[in-house]
Amino acid sequence: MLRAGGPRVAAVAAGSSITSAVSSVTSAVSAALRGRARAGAAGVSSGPAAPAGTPAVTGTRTAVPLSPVSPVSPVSPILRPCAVPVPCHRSPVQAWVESLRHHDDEFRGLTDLHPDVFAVRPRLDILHTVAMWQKNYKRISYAKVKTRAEVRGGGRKPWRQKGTGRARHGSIRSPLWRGGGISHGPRGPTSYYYMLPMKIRVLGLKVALTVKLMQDDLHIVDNLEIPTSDPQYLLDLARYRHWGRSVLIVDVNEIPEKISTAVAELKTINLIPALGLNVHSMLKHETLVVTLDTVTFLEKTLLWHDTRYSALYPFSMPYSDFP
Amino acid sequence: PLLQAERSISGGGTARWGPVRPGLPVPLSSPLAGLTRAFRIKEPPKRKQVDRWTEKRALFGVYDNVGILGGFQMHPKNLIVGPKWLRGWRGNELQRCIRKKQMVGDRMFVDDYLKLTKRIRYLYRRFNRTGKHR
Repeated sequence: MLRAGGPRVAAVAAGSSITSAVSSVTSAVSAALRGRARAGAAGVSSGPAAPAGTPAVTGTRTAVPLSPVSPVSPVSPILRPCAVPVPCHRSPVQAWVESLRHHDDEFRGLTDLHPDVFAVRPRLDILHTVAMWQKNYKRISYAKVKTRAEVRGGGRKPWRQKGTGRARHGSIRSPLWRGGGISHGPRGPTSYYYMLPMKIRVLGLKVALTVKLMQDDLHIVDNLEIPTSDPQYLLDLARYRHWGRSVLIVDVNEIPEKISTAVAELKTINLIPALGLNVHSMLKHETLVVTLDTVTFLEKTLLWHDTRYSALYPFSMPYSDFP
Repeated sequence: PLLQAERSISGGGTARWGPVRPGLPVPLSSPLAGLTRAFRIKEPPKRKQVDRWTEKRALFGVYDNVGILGGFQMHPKNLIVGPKWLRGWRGNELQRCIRKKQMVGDRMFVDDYLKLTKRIRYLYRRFNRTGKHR
């Protein structure tokens, strides 16, 4: 199914931000037609050599000649097949490749995405599990209160057992007394550490990527080069392309200086290396911008877990066939 | 003072046209009508303004999957910041006290160490000698 920049624009123009799965499917289908028509129309208007008819995209991997929309000099489109072979009973999902060089540079090419990473079942329960794990496994609570043994004083019996009309007590620091110890309070720094199985954490990443793609919040970029290091350029770009209030940019290679200086001053647009990708950040930021190299890296890393043997010894020690 | 009486003046069963007592500082319908002493009406507390996009909050959870994505050279438990005896480990109170004594006991203050030993002794007897599960 073709994921175009068109559907997002059309949905915003309709005045509603559709995020539920059912409505997004129907809107994406109808809007993909509009998107294809828009791409086709743009192709017709920008050059006589472009094909007049809309290309048949569903399920095919053939080259689709696109003429660029931006005023930059026309280049051949970027077409990237899947890095890992796709099983024969499933077909890859496709996405547009964009560019950050110009605010209009939205249809640079097409890429195939592996369905076992970008089209898995949308398991919201796994997203919740992984997000809660990320929140809690680092937590160390430092709350501590003194018990009756630790409160200063209270060794002597305050008054004799019998004879005074008062209640019997053994120390002035028992939990019944004002100023006494707490019997069942928080005790010492407590850790809430636990680990989920590795395959569940991997599946959480796959589900999050799927959800972002299917809700038109995933944008694939060829590289992270921008014309100026002005943070306002990125804000205007995100505004123009209707990306939302927050953008998470992920890259595998070394990050160019211009974009890192631009992003350093912005709060809601954040840049992380591919090692730092996680479900919580993907859910917190409305849009996810990924480079082509990152897509290759993620496909290779996340698909390995589907067909690996279980570990006889920790994976940190060398194996003959991994990495 | 008879607050009710000051406020309600009936017209003998008939309808009343016009204000009861013209020129009142507070209209008769408000809850402050007829009261000789003004008291403070409390408002619900205002929400504190939380910035959801600070550095810490925006980048929370980054590098949690450094093991899976980074070739297993690093484990996320090594990223946890905290007391040395609790990094990447979880236990109940007795286990925590024993681990603290093992790892950090010789560095502690004397009275803290004695309190810790006392606590270990108490918890051991409590868990292993009392109750249903021994």
